[in-house]
Amino acid sequence: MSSQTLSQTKDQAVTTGRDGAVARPQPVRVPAVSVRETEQAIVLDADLPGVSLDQVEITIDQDVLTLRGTVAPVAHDGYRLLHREYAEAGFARSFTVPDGIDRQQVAAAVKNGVLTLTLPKQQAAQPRRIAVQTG
Amino acid sequence: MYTNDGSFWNVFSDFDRLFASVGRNLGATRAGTPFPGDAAPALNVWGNDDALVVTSEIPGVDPANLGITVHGDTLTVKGTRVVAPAREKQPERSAEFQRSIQLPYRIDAERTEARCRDGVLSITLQRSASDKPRAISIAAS
Repeated sequence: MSSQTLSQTKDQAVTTGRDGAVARPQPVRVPAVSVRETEQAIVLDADLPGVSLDQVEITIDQDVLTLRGTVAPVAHDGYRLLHREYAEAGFARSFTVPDGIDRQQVAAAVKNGVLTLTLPKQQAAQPRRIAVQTG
Repeated sequence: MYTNDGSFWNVFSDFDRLFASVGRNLGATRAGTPFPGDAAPALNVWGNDDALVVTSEIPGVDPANLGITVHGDTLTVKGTRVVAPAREKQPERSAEFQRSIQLPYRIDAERTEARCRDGVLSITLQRSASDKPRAISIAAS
């Protein structure tokens, strides 16, 4: 996993206020993501600390999967920032979806700030055993 | 903010700075197996003269596995992250981390509070009453 860097990309996440007005764009970081493959699915684990399930946005457009997570900034009234090693910012990252994924069955779960996205393979893409009939 | 001896507080002591320049993975205060591909978790520190808030991003760490200890002016955070194996049939991998940080003043351990939510740890620490500057009254002779 690569270390997280704060970057203001052209593709900034835009936060929307309750009345639909577009607020200031929130800077985003690129989250660390692990990708692994099982017999049934491709599984992504994305580190999105500070992002709860309702703050995650997952979109698939053509063959591009985009993950976005917004982080509610935590106020520290009455305190000064003395030392900073990471920026409290949202996340965004895109991937190319391989062929053979059943997009209707994509599942997402969030636990302890990690988003687990399961992309099930279509039946045809799963290994299938052919029974051999004895003649 | 100044520490009791008048020096400006910097979380990186000279010792730490030496290691930090060589690479995050070699920090003397960041012992233990690093996160997969990463050093011990990053910390932010907020504070005033009476209290501090230390925050850290620890995604994938079960709060039940966290060990937070306070001793004098040192805060230590220990934890374990379980990582799913790269290949299906392999066992899960477990990465432990430990990080100690020296704070600008001594802490009242009894009044330390910690909260962990969505992979973000937040620890609020109160300055020890015995550590605060005290005005000394002069007895009339």
